[in-house]
Amino acid sequence: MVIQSVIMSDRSKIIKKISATSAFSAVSSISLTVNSVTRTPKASPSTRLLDFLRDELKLTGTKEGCGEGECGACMVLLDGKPVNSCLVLLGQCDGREVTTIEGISVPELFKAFEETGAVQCGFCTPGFVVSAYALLKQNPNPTAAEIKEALSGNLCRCTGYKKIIEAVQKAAKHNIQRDK
Amino acid sequence: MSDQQKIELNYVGAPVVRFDAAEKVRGTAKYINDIDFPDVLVGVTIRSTHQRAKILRIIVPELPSGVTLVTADDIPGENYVALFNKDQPLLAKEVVNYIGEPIVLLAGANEDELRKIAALIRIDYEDLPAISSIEDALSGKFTPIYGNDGVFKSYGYVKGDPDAAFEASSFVLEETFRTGFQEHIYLETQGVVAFPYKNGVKIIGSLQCPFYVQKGLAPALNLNPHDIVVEQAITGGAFGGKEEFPSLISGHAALLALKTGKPVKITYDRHEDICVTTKRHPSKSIRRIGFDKENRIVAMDIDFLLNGGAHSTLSQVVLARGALGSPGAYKCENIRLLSRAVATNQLPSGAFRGFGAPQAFFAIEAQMNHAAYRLNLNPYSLRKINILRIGDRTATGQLLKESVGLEKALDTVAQRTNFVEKYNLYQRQPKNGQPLKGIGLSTFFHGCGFTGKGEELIKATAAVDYSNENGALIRIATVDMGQGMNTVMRQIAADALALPIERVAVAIPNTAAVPNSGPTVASRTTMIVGGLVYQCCADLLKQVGATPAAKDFAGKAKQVTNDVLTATRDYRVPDDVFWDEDKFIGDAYPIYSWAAAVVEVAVDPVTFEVTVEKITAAHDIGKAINPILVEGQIEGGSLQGLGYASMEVMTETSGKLNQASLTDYIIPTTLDTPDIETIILEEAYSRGPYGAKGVGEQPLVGIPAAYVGAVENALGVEFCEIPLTPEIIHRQITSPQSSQRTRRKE
Repeated sequence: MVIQSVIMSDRSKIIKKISATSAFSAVSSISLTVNSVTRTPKASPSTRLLDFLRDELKLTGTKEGCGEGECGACMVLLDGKPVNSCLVLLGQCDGREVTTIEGISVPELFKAFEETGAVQCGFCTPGFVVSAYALLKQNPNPTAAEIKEALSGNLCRCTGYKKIIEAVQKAAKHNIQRDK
Repeated sequence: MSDQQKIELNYVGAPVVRFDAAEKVRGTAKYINDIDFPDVLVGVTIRSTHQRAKILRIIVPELPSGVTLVTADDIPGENYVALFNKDQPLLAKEVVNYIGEPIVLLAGANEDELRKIAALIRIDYEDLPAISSIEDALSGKFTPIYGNDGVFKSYGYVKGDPDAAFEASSFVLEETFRTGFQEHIYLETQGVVAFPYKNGVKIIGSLQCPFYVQKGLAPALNLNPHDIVVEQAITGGAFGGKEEFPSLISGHAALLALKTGKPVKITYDRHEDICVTTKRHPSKSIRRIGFDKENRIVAMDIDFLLNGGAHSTLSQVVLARGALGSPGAYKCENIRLLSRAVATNQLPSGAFRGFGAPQAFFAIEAQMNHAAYRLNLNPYSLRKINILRIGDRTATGQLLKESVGLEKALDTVAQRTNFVEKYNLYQRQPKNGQPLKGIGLSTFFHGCGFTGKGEELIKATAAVDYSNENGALIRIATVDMGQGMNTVMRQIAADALALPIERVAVAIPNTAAVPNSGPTVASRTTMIVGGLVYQCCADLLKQVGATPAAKDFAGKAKQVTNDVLTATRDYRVPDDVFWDEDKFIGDAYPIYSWAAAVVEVAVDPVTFEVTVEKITAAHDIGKAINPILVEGQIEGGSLQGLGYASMEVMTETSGKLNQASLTDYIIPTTLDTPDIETIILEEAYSRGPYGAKGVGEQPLVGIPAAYVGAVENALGVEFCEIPLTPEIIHRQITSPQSSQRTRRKE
């Protein structure tokens, strides 16, 4: 093996050129609400919402599992609707409201996940909780089929989903009993 | 462990809620990528784009300051990742053997900048003829990648007189079965951080086996093993994918950390993770099975082949488990078995839940389903005639003395599902355009703990400390990677010491702080390591003169000392366990778990889309220390097996994967998931803690054949490969040669 360390002036220029175009110089004028707190991001509007949440706000409960909207580990609520934050750019969130797992506090839903055994490795779990929370807000008494549909954008490789579905049913039952 | 009878069980057998659930549900559990490491640099890997080639030169642009480059020339010691063999380089130097093989590493503060530099590094190659299949590897037409013949390992034996037995058989069936790659898709991709540390390096990462990393890197880093400190971070799933692979990525991070003098993090995105990490070995089983007039299996001839990819990794032990599973859970006195793991210019295959057994059991169980039909029996009846029971001997001659729940599992799933009635009914169902129903069955086992002499070689050690102030601390290197081990260990120790479970903790798995209880693999953790933890607790009782019945440990301990009490136990293979690896004779495992599974499907007669309606699985795993966690293993493993059987297609063209994302490689979602009914059978194992055996891997093993059997029952056509997709069903039903596989008319 020969390692040649050569100065490739043309290629160096390319590096600089790419860097120049990708650097964001304008001051961001975006403002959004994250877990009820108004934020003016330092990051460029072309930053993925996921990266802004994790890197700038240190809200690491939102996970990256695939980066292409397949796995749901990065699920957050955007104006109350579940979205994959890896597919949303910060610029799209201007004036909108983002809720992450850290902004959700529903003890009966958490308890249901814990007690039914819906958690194994846990990496997908916050995303499931976000999806389940969105479902139960909109539909407090879902059928098993509705739960499956609502969670179909979240992948879990550990549990076989059965106990996750049971956890959501259990939380729903609790809600309904409480509301009566 | 006869004194176990005297212990009052407050936690063992109860659905104790796992202790890490609360932080995981709330998103506060910190995985490796969630932890802030000050001044950490990012590492990026530059990989081979050629399947098999000589590296002629590496042309590197002028590097900006703050960017560090590492090649094989920077490796301080010998350039290999230590495991069974020395064939896997930490970084390729003269040749590359697969697309994705690491060659150059970069570290710097900004990943985007590193990626741009990586794109400018040019590597010139001279291509060599590449080995792209098992058949290529055995053709003799290529220069072998490994050894003289390209075979990583071969096991075989002849038992009885197979030729005479086939001659005397009243029915013989010969078939060839194939299985594809399977990718783990742990939800958290691979990631590690390495730091310069004392006289060596410290590594924190998402991994299953801290001591594997330590041992794997010592020769390459030219360090004493104890100068490589390895700690497991909370791990987001593994399934075998974080057994041996973390040694490679940790080695890369360590090289960069040692050269830069700074912490370096390497994490893969999903694309890189799929493209370069190990997979389940593709397999080919060429099988002949002979029956006598009473439908008893009298002879088997098995050629079991695994595609190991470019480096040997764990192929030899995967092969051993596959070879031991190939005769299935049946009595048979005449067997010829040859098994080989071969080297190809593809991604190295490696550990994956089941470890060779899923491939082997797919072949034997699908063949049993085919044989049942041709013998005018149903799959249940043929198994009733042939399954192993207490007092029988396995293929390798092991006498089954206790804890054999196979027949109970078989009867349970057959009764719960009305198997025989449905099977017969579906055979006669009208083909009128309505969805066609089908039901399939399999019986299987999983040897608990390492194969053969493995446990003897590892010499697992566990320790339990106790102090009046802090309670008990379990110190082991086996890890929680999602299965719930930390909770199970606390249950085992809390009851053994008669302590409240809150007074028992499990130490962070760090090689400097815990003894080597072995890797977290082989369905060994509860039985082997849990057994050691139990024995440590018994020793602590003795040290203070307490007894389990009196529940006086805490009180006595307080009287005896204010210091930390410690008990340490090494695993000893029981004296009456005998295994001859060369001859492949004897007690392949100390004990087995046993299982039967039924899969029920509906097949669309036009599109051949298969809807799986139900999985019913009965598993004899000895005492279920935590039934909820056991159900979780069975449900999750069954679904992973169903994905393997039905939809997880991974193919390659000239060594390049065709499905390198979660968009293209699909795993089951909630909508693909059937109702899964699990039945736990508890045939106690006298040497397991509270009678426990193993459960982690077995649930996956038997699903593929049951799934394929159900599709066959619906369509009246036989299949010999997985994943069995609608495309393959269609191809086979419409192919001109389909008559060869179509069921024999009586």
